[in-house]
Amino acid sequence: MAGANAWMLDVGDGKRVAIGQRELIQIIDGTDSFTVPLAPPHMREVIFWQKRAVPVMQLPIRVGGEACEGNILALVAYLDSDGKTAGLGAIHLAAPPVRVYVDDGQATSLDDENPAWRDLAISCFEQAGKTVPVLHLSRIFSALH
Amino acid sequence: MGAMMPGMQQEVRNRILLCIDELQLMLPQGEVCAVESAADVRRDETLAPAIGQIVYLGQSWPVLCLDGEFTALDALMPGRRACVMLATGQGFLGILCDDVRVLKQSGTEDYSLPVAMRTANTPVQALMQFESGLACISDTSHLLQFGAMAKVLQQGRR
Repeated sequence: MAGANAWMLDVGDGKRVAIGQRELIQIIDGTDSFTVPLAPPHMREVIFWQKRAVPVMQLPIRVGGEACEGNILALVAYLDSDGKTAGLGAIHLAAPPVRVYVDDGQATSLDDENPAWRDLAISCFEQAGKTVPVLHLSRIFSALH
Repeated sequence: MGAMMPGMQQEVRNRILLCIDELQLMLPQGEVCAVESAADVRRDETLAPAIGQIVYLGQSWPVLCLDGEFTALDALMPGRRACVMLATGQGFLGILCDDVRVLKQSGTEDYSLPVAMRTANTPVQALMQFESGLACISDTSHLLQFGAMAKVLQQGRR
């Protein structure tokens, strides 16, 4: 059975998601972020990292929950909409990421309880009795609101 | 960023910094026609969302009091002491600010607003780290398409 390594992210408010092993670039702890006026509620903060402005996502807010209060950020990379250049984004975490091995047998369908996940996730799997969405980073960080 | 070579000239940008609550808004210097005193704003016979009117070049023009999210307020904030006059194409619009400064910037970097942070008609075009904070970079044409500023402009057309 085929499988792959992934990072499990605790994004706060009791929510866990996963990203591909190579999508996580760095963990950033306690960096200064700045609030951008008029930005969407779940994407209000920006950080400056290696001469780039990187949007910071509060994932629980995007799905109607409470903001993550931790100050750990997962810096993630994704393919831009042109499919050629790498974009950067950051996600608030409540705890450091954990590496997991996921095989095809764990695949499951997306939860129907919140349609917002359909915009955020590319697939999902079951881990310890819970459904874990796999984030579609290109869609999340390339989308206009 | 590459090193400066002899004979190379760094681009110098002249901008005006408007401080409105926590918002640091930078506009091209050439787009600010004048800076008047907020004490000269008259509060009578004003059509919302404008908070008052100010006389500039012999005529009265609407004045907006915005908050740090570009939302028009219906009360005059005590810290607003300057009124920046912007040309609208049909006249002028005053924006109240806490502070106004002229900046000559060389070798500074603007960053485009990340795609995921763009909302419809946002006047914020770019970002810049400025004095341990964040500055939002815009221009008059984008400002005048947004919210209260667009509404005042429409009222002027009627």
